[in-house]
Amino acid sequence: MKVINLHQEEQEIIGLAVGNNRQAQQMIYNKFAPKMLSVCRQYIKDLQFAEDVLISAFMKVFINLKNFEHKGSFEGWVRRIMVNECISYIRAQKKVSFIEDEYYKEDSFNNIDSNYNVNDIQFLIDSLPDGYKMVFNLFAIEGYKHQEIAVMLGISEGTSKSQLCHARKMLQEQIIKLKNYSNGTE
Amino acid sequence: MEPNKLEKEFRKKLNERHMAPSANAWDRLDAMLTVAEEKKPKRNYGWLYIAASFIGLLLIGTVFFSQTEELIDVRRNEVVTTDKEVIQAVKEDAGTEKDGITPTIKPSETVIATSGIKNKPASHSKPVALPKEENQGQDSQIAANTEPSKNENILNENPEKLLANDVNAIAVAKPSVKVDAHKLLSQVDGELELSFREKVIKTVDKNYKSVRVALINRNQE
Repeated sequence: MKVINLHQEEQEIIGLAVGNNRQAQQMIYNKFAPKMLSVCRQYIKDLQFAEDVLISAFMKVFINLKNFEHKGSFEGWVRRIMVNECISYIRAQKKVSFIEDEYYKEDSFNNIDSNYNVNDIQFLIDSLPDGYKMVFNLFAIEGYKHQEIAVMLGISEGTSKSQLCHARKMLQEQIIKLKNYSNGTE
Repeated sequence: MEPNKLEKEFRKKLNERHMAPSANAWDRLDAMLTVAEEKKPKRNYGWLYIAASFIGLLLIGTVFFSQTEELIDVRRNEVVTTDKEVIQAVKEDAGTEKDGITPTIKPSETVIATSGIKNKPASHSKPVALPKEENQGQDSQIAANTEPSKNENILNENPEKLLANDVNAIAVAKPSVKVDAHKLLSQVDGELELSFREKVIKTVDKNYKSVRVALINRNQE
């Protein structure tokens, strides 16, 4: 019952927001902005720029709100707009080069089950170049398939796979560095 | 290919994270939304004005054109008939002048006839039913309204001179009949258009003057 009520409430608020009700719009913003800023931060290292992208993405959310069909999750719909806006921003900032080597192999990285805190995780992802970072985020964090990533980034499926392979290798190296650093200080 | 354990952990931790945006972030968004909302209604009005003025122009244009066409059509019919009548009258005149009868004309046709045929004097007639071919100097019966005028003048003229003139008139009239008709039509068309334009200009001028006069009088009062 609670779930249904929440859903109805959300639908009502969305309906009001479509009619440019500023209060309803602010409610939606307040509810989703913190999480969405976190999403933007995954792609954009500078927090100020990440916030700029957050605002422009929310503009798109409200402009296109009338097109939301209430079929899937509203949060998922907002997040998708957020991710697309981040990709557009990165590509507009500088020419992202995807190494078209199409070389990949089924990797089996030995993942040590240690507890990473979220700041470390962000640090690791920040260390990746933009091309690797975008593919890694889309695959590992957002859960897109290589076919979908290829369409979103305008690359081939093979390139997407190889990019992920490179990203994983690099992350492994970074993790080792991080551990050595932390071991060293202890 | 699927995300491995490490990646799943990354995902979980990152999705739990919340980062509060800065205080002015909503204000910026609010301002952008206000601007976007203001833009929409203004644009719609602009298109309405353009559409309305376009339709207005179309209406005025069609009204103008329909009026001018009607006038020209009516006048053309009259001119065609009057041309024929005028030509007939020329022939008649050659015949009737000898008899000393000069039929008179209807006022409306005088205007057209005189404007069309500049060479001829302003006294040509036209009863409706008349035979086209006539003999020189024979009894030609003219039906309907004929009032004798200028009889005395013609009687006084030298009959020999009259005869000579008649011959010349007929000679001139016959070969140039076809050409005259076309010329007359085109002349009349031009004059009609001009007269319509002149009317428009006159009315505009009148209105302007009346407005001016009214203004001046207002001040005086």
